[in-house]
Amino acid sequence: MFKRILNIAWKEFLHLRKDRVLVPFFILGALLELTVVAWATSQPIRNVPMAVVDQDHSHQSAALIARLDTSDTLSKAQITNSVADVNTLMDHNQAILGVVIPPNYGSMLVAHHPPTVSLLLNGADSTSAYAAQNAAQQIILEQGMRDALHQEPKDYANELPQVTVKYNETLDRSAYTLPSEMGLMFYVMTVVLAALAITRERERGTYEQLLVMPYRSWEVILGKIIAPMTIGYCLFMTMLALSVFIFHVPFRGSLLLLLGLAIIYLIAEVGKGILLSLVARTQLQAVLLVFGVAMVDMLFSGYAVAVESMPPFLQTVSNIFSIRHWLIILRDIMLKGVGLDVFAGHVLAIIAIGTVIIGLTTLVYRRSLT
Amino acid sequence: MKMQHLWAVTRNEFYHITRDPGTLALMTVGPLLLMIMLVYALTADVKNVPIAVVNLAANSASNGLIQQVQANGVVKVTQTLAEVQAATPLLERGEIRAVLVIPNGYGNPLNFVTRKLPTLQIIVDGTEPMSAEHVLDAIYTASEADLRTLVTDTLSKIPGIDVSQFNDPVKIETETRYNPTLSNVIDFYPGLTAVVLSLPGVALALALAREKELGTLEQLVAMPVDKLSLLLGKIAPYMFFGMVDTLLLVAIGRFVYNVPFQGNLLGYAIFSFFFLFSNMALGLLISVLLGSQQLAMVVAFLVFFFPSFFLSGVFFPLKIMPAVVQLELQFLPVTHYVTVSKAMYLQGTPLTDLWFDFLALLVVGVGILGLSMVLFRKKVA
Repeated sequence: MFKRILNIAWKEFLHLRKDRVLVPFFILGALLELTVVAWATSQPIRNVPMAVVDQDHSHQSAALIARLDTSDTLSKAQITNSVADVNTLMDHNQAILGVVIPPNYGSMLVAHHPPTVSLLLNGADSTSAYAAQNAAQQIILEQGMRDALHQEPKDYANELPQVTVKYNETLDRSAYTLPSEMGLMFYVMTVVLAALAITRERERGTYEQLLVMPYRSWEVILGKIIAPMTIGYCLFMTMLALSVFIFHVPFRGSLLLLLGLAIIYLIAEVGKGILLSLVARTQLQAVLLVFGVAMVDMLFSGYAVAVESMPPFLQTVSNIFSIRHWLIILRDIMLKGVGLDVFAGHVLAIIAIGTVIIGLTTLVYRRSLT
Repeated sequence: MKMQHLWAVTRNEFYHITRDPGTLALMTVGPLLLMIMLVYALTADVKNVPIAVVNLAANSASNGLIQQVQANGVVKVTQTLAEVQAATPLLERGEIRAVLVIPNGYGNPLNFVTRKLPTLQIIVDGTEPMSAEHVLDAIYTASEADLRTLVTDTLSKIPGIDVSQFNDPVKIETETRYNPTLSNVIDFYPGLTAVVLSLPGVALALALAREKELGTLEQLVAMPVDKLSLLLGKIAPYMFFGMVDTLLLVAIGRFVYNVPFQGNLLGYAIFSFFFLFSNMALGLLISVLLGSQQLAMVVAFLVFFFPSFFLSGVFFPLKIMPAVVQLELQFLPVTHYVTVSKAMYLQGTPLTDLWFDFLALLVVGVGILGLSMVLFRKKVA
């Protein structure tokens, strides 16, 4: 029995090896994506181009501009003469933030009549604009405090709410995107490889040969699963090493536990790939099906849309997607460092989903026999 | 090049597309469905995030604060705990995302007068930083405002104290151009059209790879049709669907998502035509270079979706990329398309200001097409 399964697995490996480019490309692609995402999400927004109109020319307004210049988020101020100039800069995306300091800014500040500073934002780049707005507001208020009340911002710091961030202390986005990307890439690659496994046979006319072989249906399915699983697993370990050693994503839980659970998750996802491949007639259809399914999976994975923000009905639906449970487990182990006692429910969910999928796959394969 | 030949090849390809349900779906509902999903996924608001409260003050001021914190709908208090320690297991299991600790004596007027205010404490789960930032922002802003109201309300009752020192020393007025609500949908939509419009290129790459694998490409080449008619004829139906999608996307943006279109529609259509054309050239190049459908699919995915998603400024501003990467990106059609698409949709930039991107797209498109023609001749014909 084992020998027969291994025979099929070996055959699959030979197929993939003959293709010489497919697997290396898969792995390279996944690592490339991981690197780019890691790089892009670990960058804070810096040097947002800023234009300043100083209608006051007092030493208070000069001090404010100097303070704005020191911000890492904002670029050095481009001094312009009028709001019209700021608009022109914005039309050419050379300014994302415009700060207009009104006439009498300095004298009003000293006289405790709050002057009105206008911020102009370029909404065509909402991410940078939002960051620039927050940075500028804080600087303007603090500088106003200094000039109007001669108070340093730290004088009232102990009256403000005190904030503690747990598990990801610096709110580093890459600590979130990397485990998620790891989960997604690993998923897409193995499902695609698995989905192509049977359609290829069908398209080349070798499917009937597979059916007439003296093998049980589940032996064929298992044999087909092994090759994509091995490749997926190696990819997973590489990505994990890359995230932890190169991109410094914290790893606080048990490595052995994660590696063990990865196998269970892989079985469930590869089973899904084989199922899709049984349903599809051609390789093209298989690929399109995988894309469609992957997109729905991605929506419910909790990566892009937080599940808590969905309507209650969809929140319930999200539980039938194994990737959602997997991403939670990944974050729980890597960032929170908690163990099975906390996420046992999610593990059981993956096992249940996997069992249903493999059962369904065997059933469909058997039906195609008759 | 004969029109008759061109038309014959085009019709043949049209039949291919309409007879395969997968390809047909990819060309018709695919782009629109993809757009709707992307908009939903990328622009979802953070709301109803479960948090816990440790209310050590238990007075009207602290109850008021709890109301204030939930006012904008971002967070929802689902648990009330007796002590901070009880929060840790809930945070670990992900049942709550944040804890607000209201200290004993919060809102007590005496504390304001002595200026020894007990400090509020906020604990946030940072595993999902994007939503954590929103949650933190919501709780922090609400508590700060609540605190300020409490202080000024209490102190204004005491004669001889100038409460103006608790007001902001400066008023800040914000005006956002092109996208007044700073909405993510409006910002991302024009860029996402580039992602969606790469589908025709993917479809072409797959179709050609299939013909190559099945051996029917050789039959096509052996036909008494010149190479240019053959290639253009193959491309034409995909271009047609792409152009229809372009215009539909403008309409959907306008009427479903309220994304304005400020620029010159004709200019945009011409630019989109060039973009689709260079995507076709890219698809052609992929299928000519690679042997199997599987491979064409993977590479098409990497070349089309990957850069358009992550590098073209849809998610991350292009400016934070290193200079080398920015330079390399100039060789991808999608980079220029996103720039122009945003400018056309949101800013209504006149065409004359976008000449560089027009030119760059043209050069890149023609370059890729030339390369793939040469390779096509060498490898297939």
